Amino acid sequence: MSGASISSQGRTATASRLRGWDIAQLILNIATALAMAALMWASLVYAKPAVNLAGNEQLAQRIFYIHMGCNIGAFAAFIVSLIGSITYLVSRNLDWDRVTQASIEVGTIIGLGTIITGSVWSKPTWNTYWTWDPRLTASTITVLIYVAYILFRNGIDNRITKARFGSIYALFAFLSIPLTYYSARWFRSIHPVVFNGENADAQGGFAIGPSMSQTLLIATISFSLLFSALMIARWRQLRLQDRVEELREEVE
Amino acid sequence: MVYLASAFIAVWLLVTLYVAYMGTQQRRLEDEIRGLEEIVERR
Repeated sequence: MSGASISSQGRTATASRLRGWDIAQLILNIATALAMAALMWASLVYAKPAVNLAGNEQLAQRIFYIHMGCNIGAFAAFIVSLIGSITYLVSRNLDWDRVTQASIEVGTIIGLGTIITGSVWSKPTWNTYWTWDPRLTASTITVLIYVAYILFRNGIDNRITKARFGSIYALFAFLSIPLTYYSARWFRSIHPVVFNGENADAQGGFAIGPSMSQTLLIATISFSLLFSALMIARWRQLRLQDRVEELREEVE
Repeated sequence: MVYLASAFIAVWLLVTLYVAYMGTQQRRLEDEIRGLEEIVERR
């Protein structure tokens, strides 16, 4: 078999693989759009209002669904970044480094959404946009730690050093996730605890009824899909970026 | 109502800005890769 035909077969295989990814991405994008539309309907219309709240506070309670969705999406992103960084350090396969980078970027964006929605909810509930509560402070520190990952990473030129440094950093950065999760349980906090227990000092809490828990489920699914769609799109883009770098070196 | 709308708009804005950033990057990378592949093939 001639070199030209091997090269042509290779190109065809790559093209068909790319088509497969394009189709998968398209299906995921459509599923995400539908799930997000369902979440908008469920959180604004379907979920019953909290009966123990009134006025602005009752209306703002609906922010909870998108706030929790962001929280779950960011949590999924940082878990995936942990898996990506460990797998890269073991296998040295750059694809896993791209998974880590894409997950952290998307997780930081969604994590920022958690902080903003929480801050807007706290105004009618706590009468302030911000307080140095352990949960709020821990969440902000977590997002800043991951923002630092993106900044430091961009400051390194060598691709392998960048991947190695990024993976080790992401591994240690993940320590802030359990700290954030348990901050409302371990420390004196006014932040409500939704899962596994309650917080006696919480302000703005409410009992979750069936329509609320169903909406919460929709939020979990839709934000997980949103994270997956954005992460895979960015991961593919980072592969393209590395290909450009390779071609640049080839041309020079 | 203002709080509810602000929170939803903020999240959608963040996602839209990130998608727009990815779209810009994608166009730039595709143009660059096309040009580089042409140079490599010509050699």
